[in-house]
Amino acid sequence: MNSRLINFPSVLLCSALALFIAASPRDGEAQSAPAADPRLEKIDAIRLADRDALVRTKIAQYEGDRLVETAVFDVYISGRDKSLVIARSYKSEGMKILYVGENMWAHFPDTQRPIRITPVQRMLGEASNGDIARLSLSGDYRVDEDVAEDIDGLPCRKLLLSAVRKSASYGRIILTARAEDLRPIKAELFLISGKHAKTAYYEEYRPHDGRMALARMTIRDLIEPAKRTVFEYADIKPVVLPEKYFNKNYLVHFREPEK
Amino acid sequence: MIIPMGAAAGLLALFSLFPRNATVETKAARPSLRLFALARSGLSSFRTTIFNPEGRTIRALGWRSGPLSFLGATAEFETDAAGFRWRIDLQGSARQADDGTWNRDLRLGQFTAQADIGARWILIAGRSIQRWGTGYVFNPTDVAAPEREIGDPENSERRAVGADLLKLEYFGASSSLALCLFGRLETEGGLRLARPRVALRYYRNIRDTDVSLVALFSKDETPVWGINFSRVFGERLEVHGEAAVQRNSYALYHAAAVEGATNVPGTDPFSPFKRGDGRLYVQALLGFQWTFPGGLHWVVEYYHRGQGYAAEEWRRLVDHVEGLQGTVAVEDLLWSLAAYGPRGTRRDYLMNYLQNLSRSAFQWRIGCLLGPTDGSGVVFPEIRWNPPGGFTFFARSFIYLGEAESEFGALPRSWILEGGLLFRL
Repeated sequence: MNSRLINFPSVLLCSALALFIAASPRDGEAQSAPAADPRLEKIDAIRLADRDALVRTKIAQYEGDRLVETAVFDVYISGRDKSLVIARSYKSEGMKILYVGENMWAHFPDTQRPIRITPVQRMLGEASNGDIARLSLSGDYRVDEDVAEDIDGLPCRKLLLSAVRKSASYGRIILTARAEDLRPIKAELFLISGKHAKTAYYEEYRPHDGRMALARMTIRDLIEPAKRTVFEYADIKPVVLPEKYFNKNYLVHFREPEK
Repeated sequence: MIIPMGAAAGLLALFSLFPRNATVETKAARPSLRLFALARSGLSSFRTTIFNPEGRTIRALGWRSGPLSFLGATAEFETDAAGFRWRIDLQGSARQADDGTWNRDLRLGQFTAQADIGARWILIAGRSIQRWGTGYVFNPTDVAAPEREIGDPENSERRAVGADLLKLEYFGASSSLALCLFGRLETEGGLRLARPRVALRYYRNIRDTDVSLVALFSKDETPVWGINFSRVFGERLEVHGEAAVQRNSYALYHAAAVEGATNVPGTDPFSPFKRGDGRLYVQALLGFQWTFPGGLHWVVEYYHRGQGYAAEEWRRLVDHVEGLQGTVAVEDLLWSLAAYGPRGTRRDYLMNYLQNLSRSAFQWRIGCLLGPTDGSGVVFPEIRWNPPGGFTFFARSFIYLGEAESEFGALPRSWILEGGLLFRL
């Protein structure tokens, strides 16, 4: 090797690199999630039958009775804090959005690199990024209160949830679930500012792999009441993606896994 | 391609013997073909001097006013075959010359074979565009990047051509290590470096901050060392930065600009006159992005480049050219950046960029690039209409605000107004 390579900045920067690597947390440590509440884990298991799964999500956005836009996304879930969204039928077809813990990146097919995005950047239309990609409550929220309540004669529990991650879609959620099995009925979604922005209705469940899984959810916008977004979880398959799929630098090299 | 494709094919064959990922197999995707076409035409009014970095000649053409037209088409083909993902981007273009004739060009923008090796590795061989920086327009740590259009940094108009390389990359859960061997690297400004180079990038997400260390090694130059980062604060703010350092300057300077430099009459006046000065040259960038309610997106970046002409050196060059030709002007600021210094004459820039990212059919953006040390700049507003069907209609303008003493070019006030059509299939 050329002797000019070994000079002061080289030595300095090599030292910095060694310190950088030594001081960095090992893979996986950096993304460690807080301990999950067992009630939320149970609710997650109903909303999403498999912890590592591919969820084909169809979204229809309405204004009044008028269908404004439809879209199809493949959402790969890995554990409580990783998901990868691939736009299959949308204006930005092929767009990929990666969520790992607090971090979010987007990659567009016309570009050569992923970019970091802020939580409020809406890459997926009127639905928030988190509505589509963050299907796990247990990774993002904690239970502050748990109150028994009858709704139309049905014993229910009302859980008051607070965000534990900065990247959580909402600051606070009031989740109403059946007392019998904690199957969610509706969720009142509050922004970080405290404003009650949306209400989600869990409308349809169907059997999946011997259990019931959420099949349809409607989110009604309270700020613009004419708007509603219908989510259909058309297909859920257990898929375990290799770790590299959840590395932001792999987004540009993404190859569709065998489903 | 200068990379021996036989060696690349041999490596690919070797890696094809590795066990594939035990958890999930990559799917043999159906072949896909994407077509991209661009047509634009407009009017301009500016003084121009053509500086040809290939032939290194200068000839004054005086004022120019009239139509500018460009047609471009790119076919992007992807398929899986023999265990590899193949990608070919073929770019064709036709540009209207000053005399009204059309200059046609056909280029291979990218041509790669990608192999996923197990759960953590990939190998890429061929011509590929690599972007490693975190900045929007300027990227000191993009040591693996080919020449690109500063006016279209994300290459959305498909004008960039990749570098010929062999790349091996390891992916951890929150880290990656990439090793690139370049057969030829075409840097910003059109300088072609024929000697093999090796580039490294180590990326790690540290407590929700993306951090990358990069290095570029070559036989003829001292190494380039760089670091970049990106982090989101709260709901709306993203901050990013890059820095790269190299001992000695390998930029090509005109002999008339550098004090004490001499060249034999009739020979190339451009040479890396500062390659032995022993100084450390730093490029650095600091910027942020802010998301406003309603999808409005604001990017601000400040960029400093240590290499390139100092103000007095630029003045000497201008005096020299004016002595020869009576005037000096350049086509535009961005063009002059590339043309007057094959490794860049940039010194300091402040970039502002405002874009409406709403999903509506109408979108707009406005960018502003300023040279804060000399007052030169360019403003480029654009509006887009995206009706259903893959078409995008656009109208945009480039307004140059150069100063006669500009370090970046003696820019008169000039403008370009153009409209065009993008089509994607």
